[in-house]
Amino acid sequence: MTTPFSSMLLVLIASFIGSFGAVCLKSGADRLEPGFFHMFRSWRIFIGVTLFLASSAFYILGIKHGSLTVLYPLVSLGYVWTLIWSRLFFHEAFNRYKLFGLALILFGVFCIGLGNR
Amino acid sequence: MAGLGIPAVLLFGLPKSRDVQRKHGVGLEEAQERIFDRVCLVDPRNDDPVQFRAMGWSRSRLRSVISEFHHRPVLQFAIVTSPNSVVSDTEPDTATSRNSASTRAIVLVCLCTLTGAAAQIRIKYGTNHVTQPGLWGYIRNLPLFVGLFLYGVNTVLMVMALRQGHLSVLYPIIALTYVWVTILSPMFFVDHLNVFKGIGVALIVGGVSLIGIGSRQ
Repeated sequence: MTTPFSSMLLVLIASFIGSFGAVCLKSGADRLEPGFFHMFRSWRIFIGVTLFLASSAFYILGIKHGSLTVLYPLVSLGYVWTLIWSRLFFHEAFNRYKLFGLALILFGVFCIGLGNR
Repeated sequence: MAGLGIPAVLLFGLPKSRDVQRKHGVGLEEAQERIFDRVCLVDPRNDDPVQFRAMGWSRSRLRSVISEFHHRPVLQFAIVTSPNSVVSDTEPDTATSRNSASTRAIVLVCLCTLTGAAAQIRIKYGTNHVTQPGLWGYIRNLPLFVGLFLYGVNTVLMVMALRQGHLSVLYPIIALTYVWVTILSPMFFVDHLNVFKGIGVALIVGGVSLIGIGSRQ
């Protein structure tokens, strides 16, 4: 089964938007005052959730056609983007564990994609 | 402060200071809040021109800012910083509390992956079993609603976790959702485990454990 380029692009966009959703959620979460219900009033978290929804829309469209062997690894690139953003925006350090762990996760997701054929 | 043995390094001079001022566009008080994670010390240095020194932790380095007030409330910054990032980790109290907070956050995210997987399975189940045609069939579909509700719970748990931990540690852990979905979906759908899925699950669990271990170092 060949994977159309449009599917790959859609899934890539989904992973990109999703990673920004995570960034918004994190920056919202960092600014929350103590108390459970504040999170429902934070506009940053609202934007984060919206980005997640948009990302799932792209994801669903993208995953309709094509093979999961190709598409799953592209989705999991979202983890790579997020690692980069968390360093850029929140000054979180990379370390060997994070990088190696992430590599294992990416490879694992690829294997599950292979298994789902 | 001198007891910590911090060689002062001048990070930037006036041109860069103006740049910071332009970018942040804030006065000294606010600048302290934005530049520092925690302020340790603020003291007035002299009266004419009015100068303040503020010292604090920023990106796990000890930095000090000297600001001068001219006609307008803000002026120059000179930032002096400690050369290595080890300093802030020498405080044992905050280090242990940070560790337990990150453990709590990791447990929360793991819970969040469970609800995420349950949500995905419910939604898939719902869309497979649409009883009535058209939009109405989707609206009256209970599994679909349970799935969406679980996604809501999932997001709330995620936010609670992100309050207490680092994004770069917590976000990759969401990959556990793949593991739960792969393990659970043979129970609900015509679906089988195979060698590739087994290897994939093992690799993801290994990767997540590594990241978890790394966050405690």
